[in-house]
Amino acid sequence: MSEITLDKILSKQFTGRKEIVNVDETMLKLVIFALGNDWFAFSGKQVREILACADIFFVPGCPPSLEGVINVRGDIESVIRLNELLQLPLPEPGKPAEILLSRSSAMNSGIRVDQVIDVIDLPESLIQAPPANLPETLRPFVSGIFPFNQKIVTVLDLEQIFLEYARGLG
Amino acid sequence: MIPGSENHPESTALALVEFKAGRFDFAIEASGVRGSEALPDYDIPEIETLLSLSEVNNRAARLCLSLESGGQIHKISVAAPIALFSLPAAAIQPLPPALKARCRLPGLRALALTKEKFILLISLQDLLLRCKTAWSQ
Repeated sequence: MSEITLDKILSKQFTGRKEIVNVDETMLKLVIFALGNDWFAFSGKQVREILACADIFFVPGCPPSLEGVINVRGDIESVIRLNELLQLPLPEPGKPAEILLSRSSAMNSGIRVDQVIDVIDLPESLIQAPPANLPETLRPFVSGIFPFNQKIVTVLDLEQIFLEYARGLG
Repeated sequence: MIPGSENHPESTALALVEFKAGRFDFAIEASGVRGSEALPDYDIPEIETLLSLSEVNNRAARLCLSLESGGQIHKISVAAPIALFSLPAAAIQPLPPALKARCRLPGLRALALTKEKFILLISLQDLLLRCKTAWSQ
């Protein structure tokens, strides 16, 4: 049996601490949200604001995924939902929702989500590559996955989503 | 031209003619509207058809709106009442990019936000083009 010494204890604690704290690690701010039973995330850089669901004014001539426009302190913003684009079940009518005011180089828009779960800072190294069994429909829009609160969160590429949306997908 | 619309006192405001189509509030620039009158005794295109709206308000009384373009008058049928009003330029906003890319409402050019409601601003040129097409059919 090896003898326990103060040096050994301190050494173990130091090693343990080194595993947890790594100040050089690049951190990513992520906004985690739910669409149905699935959890997704956008880069926090691309989400300007999180709004409680406002009254959405329906504009005729729009596809169902373009829910309409809202008044954000005197500015008009569109509201889209991603369910069609990501081929997810549609939200139940009247279900509470939140709106992520999002921006990319392609366009700006509000995105309707069922619920914002959390806004976190995550070490970049914890984001894993998209799994091989990812559905083909999701593949172009997914930049990675990571575990969070016993769930798998799918990180979405907002740039690609807005680009394809503007081209008529979803 | 509707009286008053040509010399509007507020340089930063746009004179518009507002009407309802379906359950939506629309407006077109007043400078191209010559006037309104009772419906003629011959068929003229309904605004709802020109805007590809499925809902036509048949219960409301209808009026004939005369639009002028290139010396020609085009008559369209709209639900009464119509209103001439001026809207500050600041209340008029370009279409959000998602709408610009995906909305198929004919002639939709901009949106306006007033205290009470959103107004859909329609391009008069586009509407007149549709008038001509509707007349030629």
